[in-house]
Amino acid sequence: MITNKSDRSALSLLLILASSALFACGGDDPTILNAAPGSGGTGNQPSGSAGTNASAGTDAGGTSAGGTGTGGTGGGSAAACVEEPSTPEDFLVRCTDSACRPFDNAARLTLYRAGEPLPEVP
Amino acid sequence: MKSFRVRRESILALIPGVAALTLVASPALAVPCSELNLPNPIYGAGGSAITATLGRVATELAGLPEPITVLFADPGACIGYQAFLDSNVTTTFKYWDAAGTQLSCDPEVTGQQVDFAHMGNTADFCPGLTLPEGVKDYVGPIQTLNIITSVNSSESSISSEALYFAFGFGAESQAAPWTTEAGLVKRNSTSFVHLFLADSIKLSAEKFKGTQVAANQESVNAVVAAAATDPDSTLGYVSGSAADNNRGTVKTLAYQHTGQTCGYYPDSNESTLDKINVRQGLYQLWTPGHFFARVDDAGAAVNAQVASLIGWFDGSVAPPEGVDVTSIIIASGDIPSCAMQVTREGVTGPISSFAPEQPCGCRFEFAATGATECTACTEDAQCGATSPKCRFGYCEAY
Repeated sequence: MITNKSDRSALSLLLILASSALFACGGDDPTILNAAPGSGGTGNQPSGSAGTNASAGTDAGGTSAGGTGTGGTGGGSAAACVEEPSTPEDFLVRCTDSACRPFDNAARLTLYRAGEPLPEVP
Repeated sequence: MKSFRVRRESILALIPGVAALTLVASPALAVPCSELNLPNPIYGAGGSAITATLGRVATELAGLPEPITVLFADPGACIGYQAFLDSNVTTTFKYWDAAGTQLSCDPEVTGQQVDFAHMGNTADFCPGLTLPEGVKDYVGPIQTLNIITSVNSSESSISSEALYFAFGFGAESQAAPWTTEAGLVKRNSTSFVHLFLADSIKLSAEKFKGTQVAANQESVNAVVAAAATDPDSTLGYVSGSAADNNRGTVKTLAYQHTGQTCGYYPDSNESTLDKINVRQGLYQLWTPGHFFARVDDAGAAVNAQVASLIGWFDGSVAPPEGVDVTSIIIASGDIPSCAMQVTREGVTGPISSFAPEQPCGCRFEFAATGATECTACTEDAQCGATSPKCRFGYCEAY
């Protein structure tokens, strides 16, 4: 049960890291992930109410109502997403039926070190 | 955010150079605007992100029975705003006739006073500038920043970190394929798109590497030119309207912000125009535009025509009959605030939920894409329980 913002943020980070491992796409492989339908064609639904969880969605560890779930995908893998975002971090991973194209920083950026600050620009 | 800012003196030092570039690019035979006897002129200055949208609206206004002429100088956001404050625009003005032809004329020799300014950002986002007393900031339609490459590039996405390396380290970035500085197209440190991207990717605005150009369309042109030798290496950043208006030659890369594991387009995919990921906050490179006008002690714009123009853009004033400003805004690639489901603090601040007073998401979808699943209506009685309110011709949730 998520009880406060920091817990939600921590869980979001964990889910992001977990999904990063799942999405080990080769370079710019144009994988289209289809996390959750329901955003299109609905006019102005209040934010957070857009759409429903995807076909393959399962509860992601007993989150609070309307919280994090795992959306279905178009490519056979699963993505963590938040159906009813309430924090800025939630909006980064909100559920959507939009196409997405992963960019693998670790594989493509030689100077990038996961978890470390970016190097100073000369 | 403050770290990349330059001093106001630095901006002022750039003005003559930019002015010179603009004058070089303008027609040699441009004449003073004031000698053209243009009907009901409204003068403005600012960045080029609004120019395409403003031009389409101006075209309609020029065709009214009592025509209005909008003249706009776009030397760059902060430079244009500074010139508005100083009542001293020295760069060429664009204006449009009723046929949509873009024409140009010159300012007064001593500098042209203008009635309004427009930037993609707030005043204090410009290095050293503020919003002085007697000037009001009017929030306008939402604009996106799009990361572009050649339409012939094999790339489809980019991350915040990749942008940091590519523009920060240039040829030494090891961020293939964006390692050729001739293919990296940048703007100067007083343009909205430049300041906005710099703040978004946490790269000092002063430390971008690449080929510098002066306006959004010039960025597009430079990317296209560089693509002749190596399309994959090309990389630029422009307003969404500039990107959408040039889809035949450049394409928008899906953008993966820090904290995301996938890149998203402003739209639900690369071929649509629904802006759903902007409207729902998944795509991070967007912010409301800002009009600036002088106001009286009561806070009302001192120029009634400017008050109307701004009101037509923000939806607070009904436009002249036959001029659908909201549809023009949508067609140009911008988003009226009534179609947004999110808002954000400041220019690049945290995103949060937003419920517009009179939502127009359905109208936006139809105008932008030609289709919507919403029910068309003329009155509330035609709407169902889940979307009971008829607004702008479609049933909305409230």
